[in-house]
Parts: sequence; structure tokens; C-alpha cells
Amino acid sequence: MSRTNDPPGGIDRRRALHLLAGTVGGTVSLPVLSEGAKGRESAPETQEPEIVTNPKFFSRDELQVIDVLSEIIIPADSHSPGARAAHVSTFTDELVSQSPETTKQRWRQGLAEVELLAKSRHQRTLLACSLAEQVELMRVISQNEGSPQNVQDVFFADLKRATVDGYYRSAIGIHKDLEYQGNKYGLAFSGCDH
Amino acid sequence: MTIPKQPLFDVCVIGSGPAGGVLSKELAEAGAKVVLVEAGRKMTPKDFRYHTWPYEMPLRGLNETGSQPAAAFPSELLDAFRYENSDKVGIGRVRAVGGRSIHWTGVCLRFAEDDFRERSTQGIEDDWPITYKELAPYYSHVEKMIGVTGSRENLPIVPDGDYLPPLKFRCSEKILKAACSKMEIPMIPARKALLTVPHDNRPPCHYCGHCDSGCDVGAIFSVPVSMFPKAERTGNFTLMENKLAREILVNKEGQVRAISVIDTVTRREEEIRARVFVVSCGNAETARLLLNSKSPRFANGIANSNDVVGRYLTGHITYGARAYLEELVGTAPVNNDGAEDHSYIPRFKLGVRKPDYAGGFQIQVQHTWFMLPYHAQFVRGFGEQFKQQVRSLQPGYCFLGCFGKVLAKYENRLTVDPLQTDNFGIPIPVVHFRFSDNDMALWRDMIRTSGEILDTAKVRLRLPGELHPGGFASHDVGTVRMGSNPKTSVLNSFCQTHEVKNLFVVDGSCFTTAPEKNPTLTIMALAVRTAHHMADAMRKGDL
Repeated sequence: MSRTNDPPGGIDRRRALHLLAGTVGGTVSLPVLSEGAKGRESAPETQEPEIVTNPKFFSRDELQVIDVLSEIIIPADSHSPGARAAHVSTFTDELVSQSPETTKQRWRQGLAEVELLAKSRHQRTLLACSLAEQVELMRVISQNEGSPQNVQDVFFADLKRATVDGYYRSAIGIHKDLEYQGNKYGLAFSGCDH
Repeated sequence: MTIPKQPLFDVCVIGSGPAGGVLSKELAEAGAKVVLVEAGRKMTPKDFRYHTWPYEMPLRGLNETGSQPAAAFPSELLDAFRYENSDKVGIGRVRAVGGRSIHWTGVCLRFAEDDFRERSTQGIEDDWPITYKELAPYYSHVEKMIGVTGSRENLPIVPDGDYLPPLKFRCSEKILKAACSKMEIPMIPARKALLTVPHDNRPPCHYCGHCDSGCDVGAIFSVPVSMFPKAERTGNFTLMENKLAREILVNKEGQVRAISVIDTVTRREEEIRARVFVVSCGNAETARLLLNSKSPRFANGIANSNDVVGRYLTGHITYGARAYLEELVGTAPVNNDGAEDHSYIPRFKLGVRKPDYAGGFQIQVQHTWFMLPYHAQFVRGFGEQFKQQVRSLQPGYCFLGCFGKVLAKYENRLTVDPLQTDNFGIPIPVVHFRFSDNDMALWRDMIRTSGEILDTAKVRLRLPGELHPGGFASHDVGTVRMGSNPKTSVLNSFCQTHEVKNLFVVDGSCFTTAPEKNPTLTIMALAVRTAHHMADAMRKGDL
């Protein structure tokens, strides 16, 4: 079933307000119309905030590890950019910096565990591993997804959750990947005509 | 020692939500000098997040509820609250001019005839002291005044009203309706206080899909946009913001002489005097104010000699089912936002299955937002395949928001704790509530039946549901109930306290029982009926 229940053309906010006010003969007495209620004048920017150079919680190396692993979870592909372009590691750093101490410790332990795993399987740091090796490590820590049993399983769950939250709440995730069409001023909702 | 400063008003209304807002406007139009006292302040457009994107908010909006204007929920309100031997049910409290009407989805459902007669028809709870027929003209009055979209369906379980043109179904809703038809379950257009055409000098909906974030053009009914201009035009209306009611004060005869309020900005205390008083603070805060109004005449709180104030706390038991419809998986993204919930499944009976509980439930279909992929954390794996799966499932998203009846029980109650006070030294409310066996049986059936509807509609993925029942979906009611027996109720059928002639209580607290339906339309209908009764009585010199 293909669907065509878009409003007939997204219109910009100024035009929408003009038309809406016009429907009531210009006598509208809604203070909100003139006081600059927040809205979009045009298609939203998909520019993400700058990546941080001074992380709030992680060390720079740790942040780089988060960046690499997040991009493996949601990579750039032919459809849309991935977690790196959406600056997910910046989001994750902010998120963890605001979390309780126990959560912070969990992330630290998880990162240490992943480094140990990289050392034992590939004899080098995670950042020094090839992409194929990093992906292999991700397979190991994700094998118990859904029923985490140890530190690395919990780390994967935390990492994936943060990556999903950061990416799909970013401009890239919303506009470029999911191609969300809403949150705009429409003049009608025509419903499903199938 | 406080000194009366204000002039003597005819009526003092405490609380400016749907009840107090509508009632004040009706009374002002009837010629009464009305003062409307509100603990919160006026909200401005800056307080709302109309059309804001997650990535424009701190932490990409992760910690935002997405809908509530934070200024209306100050910590001094949220922290002043406690549970004791209680299930964790949400109690709806808001502190803002306009009350809950400043952000709501606007669902407006008439109660059915039998919803007023649970004792007579089901042998449970109590009957209301009024009937559907008595309230019907006031339902009509409110619907015409505020503008309600809907369709006439001739279903006794949810009586028809006076409606603006209905909302059109999304494709997901057409699929769900086909499934419901197979199961002989009705599914109808949503009934909500949303304009589908211009009405009452307000523009229609622009279909941004975020009704309960607050509406920037006033296409959803709210008290400040829809009621205040009318009230102000009469010249009879005074609004006082930032005035938190501490106590209702009585004279020697046991009648209310004034209310004592604290200005939340200056922290100064003052008295507001009137001939008649109406408490419309919302279920929990209304009971709290009555219980905190102790005097030699009313040692247990005003109008509470029978110890009923605070009791029979009830609301809705909830369950949300999220799934992804097979037929829509992999289709091109379209704008599904519309007007938030577009359709509604009224309470129904499944042919052969006899329920093992009293009461029933309704389903607000697509009472949700379409921006975020709620399934992403549940799709296994990582990498390109994971990303592609998330993307392809997203167009299939649907949500069934189930709201069930909770039995009104004497032992479920709200008290105040004189030993624990809020920032202003006022004893806080304490909730003592447990879901009953009947409530839990109904909850299990909501899970089972919503699952059957989704199975019939065929889904690719269902997300795990809540493990424990939710309550009360901001629909808590019943703590100052009306009834014909003064021994077991606080109010008569005109929301007037049995014990104090010049004290009325109009909001969800006055409900005798709560059906599965959203309460606000009934609250507003009762507000109009009470206002007209008061105006008549004042004209005749009876008040």
C-alpha cells in the first residue's frame, strides 16, 4: 500500500500564519500569533553541533573509542550519514556526564573491558585495530543482546541505547535517515486515500 | 494577622483550569462579579516547545517529556507530594493560568447513560445524583462553545454530540479499522476539542501532530485563548495569578467568609472575600485545600464531617501497545502527524468472551508522535542491516493507548501531612492507593485484547509492553464526590457542599465514579450547569 496522506505541500510558517489569520477575517485576537511562537520558517538545517574537543566525562581516547563503536552500530551508508556525522559521541559524553556515579563507573568498566578484549584477541588497542577487527569485537560484545550477563554485554546495551538515542534525535537521523515529513504547518490533512 | 485588601466579589473561583475557566466565564456573562484565583502564572509562547526539534534542546530532548511546559510544573509543586503504602499512580497537578487546558490532547467524550448508574446497572460503586439526560444540554452547550471534532455514530456507549467535521484516518488507522471490523469492534473518528474548520474566532488545526505540547494558534481549546476574552468583555472578570490558596476561612455561622492566599512571588499572605466560593484546583489539590481548611466548626477539614473528602480516589488504569503494521513496512515515508490521535475505539464487548471483571476500557488509537523510532532499541544487531531495518519498520508504526475503568474505593484516598509542608508551609498531599483485583483483571484483558487487534491487523514487530499497570493518565478524579446521601458524599448534584451553602467544588474531584472515558468534557459540562444554577440562585437571593 503506498500512501499519499501528506498535507498538500509543506508551507512555510509565515505563510501559514498569514493564511490562518486570514481565515478569521484578520480579527484574530491570539497573542501567540504575534509574539513569535517558535516554529520553522523553512526546511530545518541538518548541521549538527560541532564535535567536542574537550569532553565532559570521557578522556579524548575514550571518546574516540565511543566514536568508532557508535559508527559501527549506525554506519554511514548509501542512504544517509552515520553516527559519526551526527556527532553521537558528543551526545554520549554529555549523557554520561549527567548520569549518576554508578552509571559513570559502568561505562568506565565497559571501556576497560573492551580494551582487554582487543588486547587478548588482536594484541593491540581498539583504536589500533582494523575496522574488520573492531567489527569482530562488536560481534563478541553483542552476542548476548537482550539478556546481558557480564560487563561487556552491559556495555553493549548502554552503548547501543546511547547511539540510538543520539542518532535518531539528530537532524541527520530525523531528516536524512528516517526522512520524517512532519512537524510542519499544513493546511489540511487528507488522510489515506487507499 | 492578615488584612482584607480586596473588594468583595460575588464569586471567588480558585483554579483556572477547564472547570474554573469555563465556570468563571459563564458566571461573568450571567452578571456576577467574578475573581479567578490561580496559583500559577500566565504562560507565554516562550514557555512552550511548539514545533521544536529534539536536536534544538539540551541532550537532544532526551530528558524532556516532549509536551509539558516546564514552568507549569515547578519543583515546589512536584516535590510537595508523597506516596504511602501505595501503587505509583500519577496524580495530575499543574500550576499555570489555564491549568491543564494549556497542554492536552483535547479528547471530549460524553459519558453514557449507564456511566452515571453503576450501582443500578452493574451492582458496583454508586449512582451519580444526576442522569445523562440532565447533563446532556450542558454537554451540548460546551461542545458548541469550544468546538469539538467528531462524527455521529449512534453508539449508546458514547453518546453523540454537536460536532465539527471529523478527522480523516491515516492508512495505519484504515488497516486497524479493517481488523476491528473483523472482530466486530467499532472504531470511529476521534472526538476532541480541536478545530477542523474556523470556529469562534479561532483558526483551524495546522496538523503538526503535537496537540499536547500546547497549540500556538489556539486550534485546540484552552481557557486563556477561548474563555478569557469572553469573560473580560463582560467587565465582570478579574484574574489573579501567582496566588496559592492556603486555607478556606469560615465565619461563626460556618459559612465561608474568605480564602487565605499566599502570593508566590512576594510571599505575602492576603485574604480574598466573596459571597460564594468555588474550588476548582484539580482533584488532588482541591481535596488538599479542603483538608487543610480546619476550624473549630470543621476539625476534619471543611465540609468533611463525614470523613469522605479525599476518599474514593480513582482515575484510569493504562496500557500502551506499540507495533509495526506488516502492510506498511518498507513503504515511503509520509507525513503522518495530523492532529495526534485521529481515531478512537469505544468500550466494546467481544462476542463470546465473558469478562472476569466489572467495567471496561477504551482505546485512543495513535495517541502518539511519529518522529522517533521507538523500536530502534529493540531491533537486534548493529551495522547497515540494523540501520536499514529501523528505517523500513518506521512507516508501519502504530499505537493503541488503552484506558480502563478503576473502581472507586473508600480506602483509596488522599490525605494531608501536617508534619511535612511545601515551600510555603502548607501541608502536602499524601496518596494511598492500590489497584484492586478487578482493576488488574481489566488491565490483563486490555493487554490481551489490544494484542488480538494487532494480530488481526498483522504486525511485523510488537514492542514489549509495560510490566506493571500505569495510572491515572492525568485523569485522577473522585476525592470530593457528589451524591444524594450526605453521609457518603460531599456535594449535591449542583456541586454544592452538603455542609456549607456558599461553598462549591467543580472539577474531576466531584465525580461519583470514573468510567473509562476521558473526564474533561464532563468536568466542563458540570461547570456550566453549576454556574447556571449559581446565577439563578443568586438572582433569587438564595445564595
